[in-house]
Amino acid sequence: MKNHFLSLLFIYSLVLGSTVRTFASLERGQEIYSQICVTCHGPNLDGGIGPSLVDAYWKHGDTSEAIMRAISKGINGTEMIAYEYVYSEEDRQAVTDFILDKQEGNRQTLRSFYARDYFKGKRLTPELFDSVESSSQEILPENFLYTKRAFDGLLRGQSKLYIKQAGKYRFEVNLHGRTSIWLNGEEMHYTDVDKSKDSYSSKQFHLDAGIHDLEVLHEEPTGHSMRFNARLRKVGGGYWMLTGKSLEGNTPKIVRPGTEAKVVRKWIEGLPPRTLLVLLPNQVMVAYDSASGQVVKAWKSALVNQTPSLDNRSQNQSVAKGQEIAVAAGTVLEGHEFNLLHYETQGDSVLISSLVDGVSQNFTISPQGTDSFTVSLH
Amino acid sequence: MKTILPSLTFVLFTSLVLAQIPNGYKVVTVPLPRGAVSVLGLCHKPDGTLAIATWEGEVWERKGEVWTKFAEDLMEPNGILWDIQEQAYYVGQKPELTRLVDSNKDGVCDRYETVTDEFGISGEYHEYHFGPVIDSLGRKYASLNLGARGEFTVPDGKPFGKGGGNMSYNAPWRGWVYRSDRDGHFQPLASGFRSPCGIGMSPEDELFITDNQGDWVADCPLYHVREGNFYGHPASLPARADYTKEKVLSQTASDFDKIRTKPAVWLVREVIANSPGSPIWDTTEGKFGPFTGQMFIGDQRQSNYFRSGVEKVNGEYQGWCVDFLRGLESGPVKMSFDPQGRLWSAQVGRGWFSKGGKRTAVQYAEWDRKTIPFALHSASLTKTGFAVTFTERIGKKITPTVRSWGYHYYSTYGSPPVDEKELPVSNYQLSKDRKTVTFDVPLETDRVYAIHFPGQLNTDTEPLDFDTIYYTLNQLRPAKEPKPGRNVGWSLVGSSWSRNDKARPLPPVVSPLPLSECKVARPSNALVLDASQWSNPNWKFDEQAVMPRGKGHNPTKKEFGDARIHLEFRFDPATKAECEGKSQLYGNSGIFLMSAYELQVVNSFQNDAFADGFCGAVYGQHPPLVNASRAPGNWQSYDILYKAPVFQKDGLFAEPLRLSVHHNGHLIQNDAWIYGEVGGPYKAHGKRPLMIQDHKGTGVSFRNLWIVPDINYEDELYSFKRLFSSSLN
Repeated sequence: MKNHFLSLLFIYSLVLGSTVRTFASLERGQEIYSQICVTCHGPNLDGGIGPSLVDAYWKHGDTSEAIMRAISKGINGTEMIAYEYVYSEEDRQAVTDFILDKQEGNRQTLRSFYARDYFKGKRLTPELFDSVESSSQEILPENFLYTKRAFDGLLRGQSKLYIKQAGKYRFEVNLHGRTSIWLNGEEMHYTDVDKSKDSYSSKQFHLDAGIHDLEVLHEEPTGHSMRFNARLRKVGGGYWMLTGKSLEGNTPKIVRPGTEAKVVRKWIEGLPPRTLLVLLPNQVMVAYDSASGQVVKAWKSALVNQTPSLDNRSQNQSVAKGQEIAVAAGTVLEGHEFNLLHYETQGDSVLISSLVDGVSQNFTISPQGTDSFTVSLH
Repeated sequence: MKTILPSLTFVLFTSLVLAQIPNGYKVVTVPLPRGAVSVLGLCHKPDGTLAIATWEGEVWERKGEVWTKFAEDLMEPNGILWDIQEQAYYVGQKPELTRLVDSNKDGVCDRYETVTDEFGISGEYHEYHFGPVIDSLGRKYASLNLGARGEFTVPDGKPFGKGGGNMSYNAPWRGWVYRSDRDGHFQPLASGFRSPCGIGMSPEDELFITDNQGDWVADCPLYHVREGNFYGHPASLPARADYTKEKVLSQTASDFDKIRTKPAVWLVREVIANSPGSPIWDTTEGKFGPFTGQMFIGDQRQSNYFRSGVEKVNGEYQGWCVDFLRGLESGPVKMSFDPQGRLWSAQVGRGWFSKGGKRTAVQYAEWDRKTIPFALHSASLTKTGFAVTFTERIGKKITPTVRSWGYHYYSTYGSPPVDEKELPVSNYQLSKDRKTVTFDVPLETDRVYAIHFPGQLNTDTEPLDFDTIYYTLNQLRPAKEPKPGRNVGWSLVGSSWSRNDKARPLPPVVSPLPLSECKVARPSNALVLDASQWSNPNWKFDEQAVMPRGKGHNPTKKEFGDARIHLEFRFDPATKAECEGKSQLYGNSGIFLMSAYELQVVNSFQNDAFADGFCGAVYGQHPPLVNASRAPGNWQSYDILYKAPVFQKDGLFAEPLRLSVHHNGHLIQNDAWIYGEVGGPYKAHGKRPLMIQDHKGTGVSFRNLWIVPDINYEDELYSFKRLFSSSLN
């Protein structure tokens, strides 16, 4: 009891713009989240019926104000109702703080474009950019930088960098044109090259847990598409992309298990293109290659992330995610030549009909327990 | 014409796109359902329901203004078709052609049927699958993109350096267009395509494909697709029986040039098209304006609709194109007329730049049904120049300026205009109705003619919407147009050939299997067709059980329905004098299935005829897939499996005769759809005798004939196709 009292007095060290969060606020936020929000956004905030609240993509904005507005006013045409009639402002702010506390990586990315002439022969600094008006400015829901095709000008990205783990970090930037990166008002990286190289790692630096101001300034020769490529890596760990390909208005798409079984046809790295991904209600996913007649992989706690394939020409594959589970070797049905005939959902199962050495045969893939599946032949 | 200046904010992002919409037309944007973010295909049901297919894998239906999701989680469906007969949607998913069935009629697809997945797919992202479209017999056609990356490319080093050749053949039948006429059926139709995004079936059942400029493709072509032809991209050739990858790489552009079919129309780059979509024909009977019968095509980059038309010159289609409407939201790729005659398009700006600027849109263009826009209606080649027709009476006469140019054919991405020149125009004449202008201009083949009417006004002093029409001249007007093929009551639907067409490509020659490998065990239920079984006494078996052709046709005494047949035949070696210039008289006979459907028997060993008269042809219909003939004097074998045609109670045709045949161990007819009797349309019948034909010509003999009556064709087909080692694939 005493400890609890003390913690209430302790001001949480994260300072978010004007918002000062307390443990009390975060606890209240978590309480409401796990009662209400969890249904659609999932226990780990990574989405379900509603979008993920921990990925980089924020369709309706990722500032404290934007999140508060989405909670208060709801999102038209979705199941997200206006909670201003349900919860007090204080409670809604608590949920907002709780969500913001879970963020990691680049957020609130503001992109500006500038015409070239003024910057010729001058070192790229935030002050230089501040001394003239941009030609356009936009908040990017993707939270990484990109340009239009054949873009002719300079690019400026300003964002908030959410760091949860203090430690050593570094920028990895390909050398192409002029690039200047600033953290909390300090220049961390500057390159100006004629000949491009694939990658370059900047010096290492220490970052505290908390929210940092990140600014990226870049200019390159006009080309078919932007060649600038940058990421922030935790030394010995993962990274966040600071540049990328626009989803061009698309939103991240994750195919999750439903109350009925479903079959997903996507191009997945390492799987044959004629694979049927049978996604069962117990969150088990079975990859059946209709051309070889084999179950080639299976996962529990599975989903299909279609997002990587949604930009540009779909050069990138969708990703099957989950914990891999062992599958029996060999073909599902006895035979050598397999041709898919049809498939259909039957409640929690999927019936697949194949031509096996010229003979039509059926089998059903069904969930078993919480983390397995069965294949029954007909 | 209305010129609509977009609002200022729009201008900032699109560098001043002017909408150019012909008088009497309007363009309407339709709101899309949430989640439909890149529309690739659309179609209409006869009741006006619109369906769209999205790159992200969804199919949506729109009834009235309400959208409902019909199917999801598909793999990049690049086209959608509503089959009225089957009451089902077809989509070209990347790995297969799929029928989407709503069996419980709740408005949601519940059964996904694989119609065909017999083509290869390596997984390379550019292996798009476009279509399908449908012919009047209900058969589906779709096209298969080459890969953008891969091992097998065909660079020819022209005009310099590495020389392009970037598109790759990574799996069987990439770069082909195919037909599928029922579940499991896959029939490769024509090769040589690069990125054949546009596919359309004309009201006359002729297939047209648009392709994209690139390696081996000089500009954006509109091809008239004929079964068996090659359209120019050599990376697709290894799928042909007469090519290997090595052979392709050993050849040069001049070799490929000899076998390629040129585009019927070049859709001139930048001014007309960069990435043309599917053609659609104005069958609205005037509801969409004065362009009945013309093709409308959209372009993904230009964000426009343009018009095109073709005419037969010296037996081949060629024709013109002219811009029609500009300023669409995004890039149209597929189009559909609704029952009210409004022209809808699925538009996408993702992946490839679209002038419209939006990532996607569905829009329709509608005509007010009264205002005739002043436009270049069409162009036609004359013997000495061109005739160009306007939609309205023209005002002051303006002599056109004419430029022409050709193109390179090489592996480098695209071709600049070659030998471009201004041409002298003479003998300008205006028709009495002031709508058609004729003029003379020097004519050369293999060139594009840009015919420009600068400042031409109509009698109301309105300017033209678009003042240049482009004509692709492949052939000059001959002194006399060749006669079209003889009509026998059926046509070779979707193949674009007429019966006995001499231009049809000949079947590739392959080595027959040795006779010892063509032996098949006679099933115990087979009926041996010995002397007792034949009814014509003029046909006699000799002591070696060999039956030479006799006088008059020779039917069996018994009648047969579905059956499997084996027989062997041998041509008497003939002297040069006996068969010189008379290829069809070298041992001619025929196996008349059910007394009416002829499998040709003629010597085709070093004895070429027209393609559908070769040994193993379904005479007048299907050439053999390969020419596996042995030299005269040797015994050859046919193994035949067929399914009798099905007729409705009222005698009308319901299902065709299906035929599969091996010739000397090679599959030469693969579940072929037979169009009718050898000399006329289907006439209802039941079982009928098998008959061997008497025909003028040198001698031919038969032996070892047997038939298995009343087989189940569908059950037998799979193993029948695999009778011999050579026919597995």
